Amino acid sequence: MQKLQGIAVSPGVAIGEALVVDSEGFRIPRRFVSRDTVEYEVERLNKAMAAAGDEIGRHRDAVSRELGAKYGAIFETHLQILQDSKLHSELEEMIAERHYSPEYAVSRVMRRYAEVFQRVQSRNVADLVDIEKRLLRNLLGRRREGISQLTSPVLVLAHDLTPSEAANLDRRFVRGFVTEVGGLGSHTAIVAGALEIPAVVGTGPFLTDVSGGDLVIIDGDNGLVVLHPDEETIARYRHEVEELRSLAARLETLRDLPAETKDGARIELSGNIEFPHEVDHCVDRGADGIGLYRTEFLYLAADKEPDEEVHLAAYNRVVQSMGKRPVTIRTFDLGADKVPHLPNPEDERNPALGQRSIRLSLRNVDMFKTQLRAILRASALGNVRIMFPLISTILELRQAKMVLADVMEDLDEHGVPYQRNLPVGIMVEVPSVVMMIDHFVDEVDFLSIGTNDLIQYTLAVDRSNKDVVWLYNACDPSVLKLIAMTVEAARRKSVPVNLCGQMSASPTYTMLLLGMGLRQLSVPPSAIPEVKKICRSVTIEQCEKVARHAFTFENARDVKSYLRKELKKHVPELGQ
Amino acid sequence: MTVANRAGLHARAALLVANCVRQYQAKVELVMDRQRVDALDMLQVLSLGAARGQSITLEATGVEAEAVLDSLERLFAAGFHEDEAEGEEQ
Repeated sequence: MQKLQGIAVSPGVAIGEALVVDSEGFRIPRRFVSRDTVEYEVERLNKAMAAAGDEIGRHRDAVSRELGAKYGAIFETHLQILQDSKLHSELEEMIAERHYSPEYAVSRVMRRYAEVFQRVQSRNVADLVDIEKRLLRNLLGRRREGISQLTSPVLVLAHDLTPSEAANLDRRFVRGFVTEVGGLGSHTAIVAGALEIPAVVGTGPFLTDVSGGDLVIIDGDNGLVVLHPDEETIARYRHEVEELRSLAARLETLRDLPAETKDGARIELSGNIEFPHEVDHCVDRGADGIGLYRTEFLYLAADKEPDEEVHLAAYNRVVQSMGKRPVTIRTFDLGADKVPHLPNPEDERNPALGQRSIRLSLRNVDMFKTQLRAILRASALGNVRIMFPLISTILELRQAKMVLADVMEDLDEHGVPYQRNLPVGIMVEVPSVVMMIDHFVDEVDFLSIGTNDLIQYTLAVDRSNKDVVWLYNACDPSVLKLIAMTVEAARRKSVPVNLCGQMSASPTYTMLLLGMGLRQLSVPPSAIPEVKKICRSVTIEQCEKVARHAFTFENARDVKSYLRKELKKHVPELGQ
Repeated sequence: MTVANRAGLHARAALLVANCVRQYQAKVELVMDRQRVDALDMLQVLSLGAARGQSITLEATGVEAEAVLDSLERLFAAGFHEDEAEGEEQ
């Protein structure tokens, strides 16, 4: 048994078979061959080894000719490794004695050697991986299986997933994700959240220790991954899966009840979504609206810039499904480095502080207008609101509103219908906006506090950097103060204020947020039942008391442990 | 023998050892920490992970056992010619 600690990005527990995806998207399932085909399979292995040997020989000759013998020697090494007599006998034995398929035998044996190499700190690990891939390519030929065609439930283990790989996975069969790299905001995290399956990222290297078909446990609540679990661990987690299932079943009974406190304060509880299909999760759980519709995947899923119709189709799907309930669409919120069709930024040494999000939209006005036109057109069909991300100065907001006015004028000229007075708001996620919040509330129809970036910019910490992530705390007193300032300014001018960061999804913070005066929360659809449960279990007076006390602490750890204790006291069912 | 070069018995060095052994009628085994591997089995040799300063016993059998050991001794002593000009490498 082996335990890995990573970053928990999507809650829940999954137990199942591993699907190991390497950097080329191979999957090597554990397969057995029948006794009578052993001879044929060994023959297949020999042919693949011979073919791989020929390939390497050709590479060696070509490279030696062009670059010199020194470079050709790299391939000579590969050839010698491939011709190692013990390697050959080990592979043959696995097929003949244990009836492993040649593919599985190769991936198993090579990964074991890779482990040995790592242990003795050999610098030749990459060579082994290269040889493994070459052998597998020769064995699988055209039958190479991608991860888009699955036939049984799997837990996907990968070094990293590209946005398109993540988006193209067969949803019906993927039960969980683990990636060696990545942080809270990684694509894997977002996709896993959208699929509502457990995910752990940033575990560090481990793929050499696991083969396809191995039993794996993903504990998305604690960021743990268990390889080769023992019976006791399996039993413990099975029990936990059962508990979670029965809690979910109990919470489901709240579906049609409003998020209302015991003393009658109505909380507007909306869903955050990334993909149009998630709107169904929101409807199923009785969300009051879509508080945050992120539009980034429209830009990531294809190699070319999405046109107006692509935008419109996605927005219409969401807006129509929600009927009269509000849908807040956030405009483009990415850096140029993430978007394939934008020119690579020249001066982007520090992307988090660079030309991203609204800054990039204002620089690429045509792209921005395309999105705004589609949002406005969708507004004719329902209750749409526009939200600008990463606003840091009042001038930026005015600029963005001017572009929007331009687009409206254009639509008017062409007689295209849209909602003329649709609400326009901003994300509050840069501390400068909070400092100037009294001015902003005069120029927006609503505010939405994005805690993820607000925390990052307030504490100057990158939450995907595991060396500093411990500084990243939603309940750091400085962050709470900024939220309080925003809520207070909004209250004075009767501007609605929502909170949509990850903070709103954690039951730990719900009482605090209500106590601070928030009446709108937007959470991932999966978190709706829990947060609703808390709203329905407490009074505003209790929450206000909790908030007052929380503000007396001077560090995040004390705040958090106090909040946990209070949750346990007031809603024991959720305060484990 | 002692591994003298900085990088240890890595791929390039192991290749030189194997190429040397091939020129003689002899079978050579490397013994380190009770592990014994054939000098021609590159994967096994690399799995030893012999670092600088590590001592390795060389055992040869066959008609040219003496000669191959002499030759290997020079190779080890020279630190696998690590810092010499490219042209001399084979």
